[in-house]
Amino acid sequence: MLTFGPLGITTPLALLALAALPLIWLIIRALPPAPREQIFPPAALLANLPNTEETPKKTPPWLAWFRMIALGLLALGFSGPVLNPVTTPDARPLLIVVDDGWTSAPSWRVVTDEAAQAARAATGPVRVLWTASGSSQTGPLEVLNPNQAAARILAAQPKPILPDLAAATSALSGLPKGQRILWFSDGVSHMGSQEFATKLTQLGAVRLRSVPQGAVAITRAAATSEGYSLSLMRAPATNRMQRLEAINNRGQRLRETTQAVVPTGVSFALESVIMRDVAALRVADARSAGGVFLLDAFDRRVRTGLIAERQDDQPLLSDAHYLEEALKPFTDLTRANLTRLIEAGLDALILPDAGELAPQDRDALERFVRGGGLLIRTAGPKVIAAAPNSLIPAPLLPEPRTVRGSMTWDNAGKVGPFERTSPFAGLATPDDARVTRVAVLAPETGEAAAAPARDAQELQIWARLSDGTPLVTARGLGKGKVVLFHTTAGPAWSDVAFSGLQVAMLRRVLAQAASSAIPANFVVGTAPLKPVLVLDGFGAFRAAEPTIRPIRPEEVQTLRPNIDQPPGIYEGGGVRWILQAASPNLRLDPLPAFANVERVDVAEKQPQSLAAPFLGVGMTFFLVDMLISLMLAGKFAGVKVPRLGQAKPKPNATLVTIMLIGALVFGGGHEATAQTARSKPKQSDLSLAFIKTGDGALDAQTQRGLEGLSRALRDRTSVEPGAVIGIDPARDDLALYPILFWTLGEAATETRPEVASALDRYMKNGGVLFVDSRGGGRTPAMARQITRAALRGIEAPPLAPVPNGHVLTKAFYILQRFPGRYPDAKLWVETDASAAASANDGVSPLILGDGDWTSAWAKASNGSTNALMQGFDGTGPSTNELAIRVGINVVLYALTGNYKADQVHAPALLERLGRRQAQPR
Amino acid sequence: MPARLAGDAQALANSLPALLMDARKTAASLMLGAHGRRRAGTGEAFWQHRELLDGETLRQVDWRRSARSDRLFVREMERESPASLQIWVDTRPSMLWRNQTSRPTKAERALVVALALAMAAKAGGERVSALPSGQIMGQEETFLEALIACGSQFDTRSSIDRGRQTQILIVSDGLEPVEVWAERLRRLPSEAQSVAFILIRDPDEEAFPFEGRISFTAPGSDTPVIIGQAGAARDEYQRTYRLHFQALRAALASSWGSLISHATDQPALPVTLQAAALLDGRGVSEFKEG
Repeated sequence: MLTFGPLGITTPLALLALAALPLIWLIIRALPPAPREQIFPPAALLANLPNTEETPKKTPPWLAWFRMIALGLLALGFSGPVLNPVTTPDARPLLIVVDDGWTSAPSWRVVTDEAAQAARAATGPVRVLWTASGSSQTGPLEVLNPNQAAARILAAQPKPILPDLAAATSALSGLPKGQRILWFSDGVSHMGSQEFATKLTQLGAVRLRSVPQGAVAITRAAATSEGYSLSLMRAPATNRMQRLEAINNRGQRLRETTQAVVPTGVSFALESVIMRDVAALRVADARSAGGVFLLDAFDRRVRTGLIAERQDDQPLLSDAHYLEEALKPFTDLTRANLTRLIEAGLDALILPDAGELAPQDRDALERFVRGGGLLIRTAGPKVIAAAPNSLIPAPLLPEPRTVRGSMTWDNAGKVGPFERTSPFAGLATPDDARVTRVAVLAPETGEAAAAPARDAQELQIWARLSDGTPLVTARGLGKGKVVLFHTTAGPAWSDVAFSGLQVAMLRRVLAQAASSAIPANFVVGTAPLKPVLVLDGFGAFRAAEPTIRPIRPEEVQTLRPNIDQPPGIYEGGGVRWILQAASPNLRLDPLPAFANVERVDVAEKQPQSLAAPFLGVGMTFFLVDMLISLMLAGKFAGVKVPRLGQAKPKPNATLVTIMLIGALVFGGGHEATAQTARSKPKQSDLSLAFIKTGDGALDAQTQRGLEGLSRALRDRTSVEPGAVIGIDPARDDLALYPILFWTLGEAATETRPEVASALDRYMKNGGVLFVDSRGGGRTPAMARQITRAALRGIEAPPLAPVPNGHVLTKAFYILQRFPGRYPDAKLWVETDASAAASANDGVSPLILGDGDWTSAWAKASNGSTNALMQGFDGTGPSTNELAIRVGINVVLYALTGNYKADQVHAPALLERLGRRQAQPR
Repeated sequence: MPARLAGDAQALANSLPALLMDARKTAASLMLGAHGRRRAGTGEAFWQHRELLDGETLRQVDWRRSARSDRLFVREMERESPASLQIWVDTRPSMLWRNQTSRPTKAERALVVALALAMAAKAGGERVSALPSGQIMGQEETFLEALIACGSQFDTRSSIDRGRQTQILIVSDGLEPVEVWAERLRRLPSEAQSVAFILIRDPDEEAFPFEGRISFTAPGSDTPVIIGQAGAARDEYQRTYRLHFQALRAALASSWGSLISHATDQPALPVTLQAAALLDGRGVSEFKEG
């Protein structure tokens, strides 16, 4: 290899071509550009000019230079120029260490490209050590050849965990000394970084390349009233400005912040409408698993039903109205009667002030609650009037307590602060919301205590007034829960409805219904938690793979993400645990300086082949040269005057050759693709189809008949139908078939309604239905009965026998009659008046006949092949042949519509033609 | 009929309606009218009244005139003896050329001029026919087509109108060698009263606005002439060009012919007027430059 500074030449022999350039120069200069062609009548005069000056018949120098440069570029390109050639091959074995944790994810492309290049440039054996994913590996590192190593590096993906340098250190043991070591580090100091570095330096010379762009982790996120407040942790070499995204459980972006500054905690404002859909928060710019914070309990919307029969006459006095307006923005709220809602299988039901329920309603509701539903009730005059029952958390006194009168000015009736255990904990109690009347729990007498059902759980009081009166009570019942708001939802007993508090409280209550799983730090589960959704190294959501190990319930609190248990959402035994990639106390400190480790800040210059650019520019020059040559030859001289007597321009052989070479060089790879497209067989897009009657013999006969008709169509017309298809109109798509054949059975059978409606739709959308009642063998009354039964539910147009001159009589064959199996068969079509009025282009959507044509067609197909010939022996075509002709006409009628109706003018046209020809010229 | 015409002539015939229109306009401007023979004859214009001679029938008497006197008068009309105009319009390939699409081809202009003159002459009672087929002018379109069909070769031997006063109109670019023309003119029969030659040329044929290395080919010819530096050859070419036409004019003069030169960038009317005057014997043209 020759080297000139940073440029190396792999095949110097190709440079010998440069020596030929002077010779080529002479040749190029000697070949003049083609003269411009000019038509000129007095050219003969020119021939007699005595002494015309000749321009030197030579190529202009600038063009010659241009061509020389192009040739030179090509010669250089073929000589294989390489930038930054490897001049002194390093024979030491190469060890490439890659930190493949999520901390490297933002720069993963850069890291792997550089590592792969380094591997490819190596001359000796290459080992690759992955600090994150390699921790589970046992045994010595595999020895690879350079290309293998490069391929593996390029195929690798970052892991959603942190590098485990302790494990990596142990993996180093047993490696021989005298290695060349490249460490592509994430630039973060992990546990055991120091030991790992020390161990590396013992093995050989270490060059350490830190990622140019580090990761940003979200370590904590707390919900606030406006959104979330986040703690961010920034790796070294990371932009301080990062955007944040809120994404839903499909990974789609819902909202994005403008630039946020790391590492100060930031607050991410989110509209509450959005919040219910947010599944995770994510750092947008530096994508990594650590930059994703998975959120709980918002993974699906609560489907709520409001039990209210009618629309309200006076909405502003109606509890249901207030509830509906309050909850609409947050839940999928359905308003209907009780039965309907229970059938809908909702998560929660809201029952505003209701007294005694009908027994079946009460049972249904109770079943709903015991089955895991949430029932929210609001109090009112009717509730307290009702007898104690299981659908109220606790018995109530029949009279409400008046907390506030019109003469009260103190704080009576104010909502008290919420206890920490209450689901409302953290909600602010507004100063201006006052409760005037409240339903009061009955004293716990023995009689009253016995009233709740046996499996009812303990009464919970979620909210109280400032004087201690319970405001919201709840009691578990079966798997579900009944919650009672002790005032009205409307303004009758309280004005809480006017404050935001009622909405917030209802949302908290409904959130209980949102997730059946309880966070695992509240409850210790009993079953292993299986992954529902996991993160990959870049922080994208992935479906859980079977190799992921479930989390045992007892290790939930202490577990860190590892290679077998990636960060994600785990559920099991009614318990859910979110394993975040970045633990709350994560620190991303910069890597300290190590002794004997050389830091490399920019990517090492790797050999880079320059052949492609040289060749490309060279070929481009030649293309430009072609254009210039054409221009000099006057090919672009604009529009020419009539080109009289001009010899056809001969194709320029040189140009064609160069174009061909160019096409081969640049377009060589395209041959393969061209062939695959051709190999696909052309599919027949038309098939005759019949409606399966369910009668096997009849269907088989229809099938045979249509096959015969298909064959005749293929033989005689340009219609080439594919295989005959039997269909069930109720299930199959009828839109694919221009005509449907329906042979009616022996007995009158009612058509199923779904079949009837499908056929009705088919006919209305332009399909043609050919119904054969096979009436010839039966009494007319019987045939009529069968047809009428079959067509019941199908909106048939008014029908009439095929009139003279109808398109059916001349769609392909000229027919006077329509014989089927019976020579006197009749055919009925939509009346002309009706057809003209319909939108179906004058084509009758229904053709009704009684000729039993299918059996005739079936016979014709079995019979002699010279059916066409039969007409010539004097007997006239056979009945079967005529039946085939009817079939062909029917199919062509369905396909071409009233196209042939124009033939009414044919006689006039013919006559006119005849007259014209008779005329002497 | 147009279908008989070959190739380029067909293209020319396709523009026939436009040519006709131009020719009619030009002819209308000529307004030559019938030029009388200034003696009594069978014409339509009044010539004189004379006394009834013996032996003449009373039917000839102009009673209106006679009633004003005692004698009988006969109304005599002027005699109009139609002369013969024979036209040859060159439609060889070299005539179908123009260097700029804004101009008509030489053949188009030639046909317009020729037809305008033919129409004027016919209106004047002359007998107009096409050379060499001798087809008499009847309908204008038909005659135009005949002109186009006849234009591909020049042959005067067969069909010159003998026994009449014949004027011959040649419309051509005159680019064939002078010897050829001299031979043609020599062969014209002595009955030909005069020969009018309208020379149609494209201005660029004279200006030679070409530069650089150019291969010149005459239409209908296969032998290109390559000029290395067209610009440098211009003066020499123009001299040759002028000499050619001087020789042509000399050849014409020896056959009592006169030559009118016309460039296609000029309007058609002046040259037509000039030619009409020439045919009428009222003017003599000069070979004018430009």
